[in-house]
Amino acid sequence: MTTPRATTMHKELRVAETKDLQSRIQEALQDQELRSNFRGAMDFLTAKRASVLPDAAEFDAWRSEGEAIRHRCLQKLPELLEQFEAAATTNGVRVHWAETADQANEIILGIMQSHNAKRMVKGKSMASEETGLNHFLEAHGIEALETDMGEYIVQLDQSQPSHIIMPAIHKNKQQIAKLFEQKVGVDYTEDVDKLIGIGRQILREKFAEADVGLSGVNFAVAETGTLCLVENEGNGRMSTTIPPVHIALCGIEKVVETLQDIPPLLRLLTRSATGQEITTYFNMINGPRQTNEPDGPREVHVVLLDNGRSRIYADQQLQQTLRCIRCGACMNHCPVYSRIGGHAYGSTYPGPIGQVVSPQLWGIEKSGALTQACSLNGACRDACPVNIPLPDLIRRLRHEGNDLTATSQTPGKGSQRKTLEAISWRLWAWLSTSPKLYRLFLRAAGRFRLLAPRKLGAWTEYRTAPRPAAESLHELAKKHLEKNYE
Amino acid sequence: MNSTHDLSQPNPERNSQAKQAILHRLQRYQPVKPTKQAHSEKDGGDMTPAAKSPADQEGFLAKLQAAHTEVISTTGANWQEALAQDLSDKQIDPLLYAPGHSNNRSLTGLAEKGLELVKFDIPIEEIKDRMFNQIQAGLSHAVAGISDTGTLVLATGPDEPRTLSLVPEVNYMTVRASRLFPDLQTAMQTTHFAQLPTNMLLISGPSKTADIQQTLAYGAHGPKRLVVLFIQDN
Repeated sequence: MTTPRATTMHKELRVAETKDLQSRIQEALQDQELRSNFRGAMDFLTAKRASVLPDAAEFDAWRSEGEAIRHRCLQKLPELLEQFEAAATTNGVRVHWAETADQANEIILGIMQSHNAKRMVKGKSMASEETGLNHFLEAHGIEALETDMGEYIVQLDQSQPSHIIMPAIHKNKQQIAKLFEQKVGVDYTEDVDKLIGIGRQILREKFAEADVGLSGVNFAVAETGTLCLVENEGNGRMSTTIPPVHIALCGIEKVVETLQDIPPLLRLLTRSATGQEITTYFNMINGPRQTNEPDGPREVHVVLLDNGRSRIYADQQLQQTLRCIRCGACMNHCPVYSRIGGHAYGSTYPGPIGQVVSPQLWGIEKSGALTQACSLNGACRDACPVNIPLPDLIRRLRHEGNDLTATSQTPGKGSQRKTLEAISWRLWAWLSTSPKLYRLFLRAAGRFRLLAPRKLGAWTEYRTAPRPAAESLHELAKKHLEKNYE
Repeated sequence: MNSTHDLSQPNPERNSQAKQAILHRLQRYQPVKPTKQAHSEKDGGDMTPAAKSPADQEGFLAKLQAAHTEVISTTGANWQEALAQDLSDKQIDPLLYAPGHSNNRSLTGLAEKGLELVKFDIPIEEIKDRMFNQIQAGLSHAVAGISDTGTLVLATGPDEPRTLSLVPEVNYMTVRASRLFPDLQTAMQTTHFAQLPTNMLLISGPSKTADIQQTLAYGAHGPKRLVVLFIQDN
C-alpha cells in the first residue's frame, strides 16, 4: 500500500486562476462524465435539503435568526476573540494567533517539531486547504494524511476538493474503484461498502500511530472556550481524540458568543449542508485530557487564522461574507457550479461563496475573473441559511475590479479594467446624455445598419448579432403621432 | 527542544504581536446599528414546535432507528441482561467498559453469562493496540437524549472515556427515558452544559459517510453499529 502524497497542485492552481478560467470552464463543460457526476450530486443534495426544511415562512424565520446571531457575533468580534482566548486558555488550550497563511503553517510546524512529530492525521479543514498546509508540511518531511473519506480520495488522486462539504463528488464510484486499484493496490471493486471498508482499515492504522491530529472548527464558543466540530464519519473525533496532540485551525470569524447561539446555527448548518436534521457527531471540545482521564489528547492547540479576514471585516458590506457557516448550499443551488463543477473555479473555495471569498483573500488580480462566472440569478441568495446577499457581493467585487477609485481595501481593485471596454462605456455615456447627439447617432445607425458588425466575440457564438432597425423607436413614435393626432 | 522557547507554547512575543495586529485591524470597523428589521433574534426559536412540546419518547426512538441505530427497550433492573443477550446473540466479545462509572459498578448480569469484560481504567496508550484490533464493543452511558433529532448526549470524563463510543466496532449506549429532552436548547439547560466536560458529544447514529457517489455506508471510521439500551425507569 502506498502512502498518498500531498498534492502540489494547490499553489499552481492559485497562479493559474485568472490565466485560464475560460478554458477550464470549456473543458469541464465538454466532460460528460464530470457533468453527470455533478448533476447527480446536486440533485441528491438539493432534494435532501428540501426534505428537511420546514415551510418557507418558518425557514425564513430560522435564517433570519441565524443571520442575526452571526451578525451580532461579528459586531463584537474583537472582544469575543479575546474572550474566547481567555476561556480556552483557562481550559488548558493553547491559543495561537496567525496573521497570514504562512504564519499559521509555521506555527503548526513548530508545534510538530517540538514533539518531534512526523505523522499528522487530518480531519476535514477548508482553512488548511486555504493555507496549503499539506504541501507545506510535506516539504518539511511530515506526512499530512487526509482522513475524511472524500478528502482521502482526493488526496490519493493528488487533486483538490471540488466541493467544500463533499470533496470527491466530481468522481463516480467506478472512477474511485479504479483509483483504489491503482493507488492502494486492492482488487477492483465498485461495492461502496467494500471501498469504505478499505479506507477504514488503512486509516484506522494511521489514527492509532499518528503523532498529531489536525481539525478545522465549525464554531468556537467565546463564553466557554469550546471548539465545535460537525461530522458524520468519526474521523474528526478520531483526529481530535486519539493522537497525543490536537491542533485546531480556526478562521477568526468562526467565533460565536454563547452556547445558546449553537442550536439555531447547527439546525441551519446540517440541514443546508447535507439535508440532515443533525449529523452523527457534534463534537464539543473543551480541553485536553485531565490527569484523571484515561484518553483524549494531552495537548490541544487552536490557531486563530486571519489571512485577510480582518480586511474583509473592515468594510460594512463585504463583512457579510464572514457570516458564512460553510454549508455549501450556495454551490448546490448554483446553475453555473452544477454545470462546471468545483475544479473549474481553480480556487480553494468554489461556487458562489468562493467567488466572493477568493478575490477578497487572494486579490482581484488573481481571482477577480471568478466573479464573471455568474448569471446573477440569485439562487445562492435564496438558499443561504444566513442570508448572505451573494449576488450583491459578486456585483460589488465586479465593480471593484473595474473601479480605480474604489474606496475598499480589496487588493487588486481596478485590475480587471480593460481600456477598450472603459472607452466604449465612456462613449456610450456621452451619447446617451446628449439628446441631440443620441438622435443623430440613431439616425446614422439606421441608415448604415447593413454595416453593423456580424460578429461580436463570445456574444455571437450562440446568438445572432443585433442590427439597428431602419427607423428608431423615436422616429416611429414621431410618425405615429403626426399621423394620428394632427 | 528549541533553546529560546518551547515551540509547543505560543511564542509570547510573536503571538502577542500577531494578536495585536489582528485586533487592531478589526477595530478599524465602526459597528453600525442594523437597519434591517430582519435582525431580531426572536424570530426563529420560539416558532419551533418542538421547543414547546414535551419530550416525545416514540419520536425519539423512531428518529434513532431512522438513523440506523438499533434500539433495545429495557428497564433499570434488566438492562444488563438485555445487553448480555445481544452480546451473546451476535457473538460480540470482549466488551470494554469503564469500571468507575456508577452504572458499571456491578456488571453481574454480564459476568454470569461468561462474557469477557475488559476494564478501561488505564491510559489509552497502554490499551490502544488492543482497542483498535481486538476489542469488539464499548459500553457508554448517555446523560441525556434529545427527542426532536434522535440524539444522545455523552459527557465524557474519568469514568466515561471518549474512545469507548468511538473506536470499537459496536457501541452500546444506555439512556434513561426520564432524561429525555425535547430539543438541544432545552438539553443545554442541564448541569452538564453549565459545567462542560473536556469533551461533550452529541451522537445521533453509527458512523457513516456518503462520500462515494452519495451512497450511504455505515462504519466509516467510528462504530459500525450503535445499540441504544433505552431504560424505562421503574
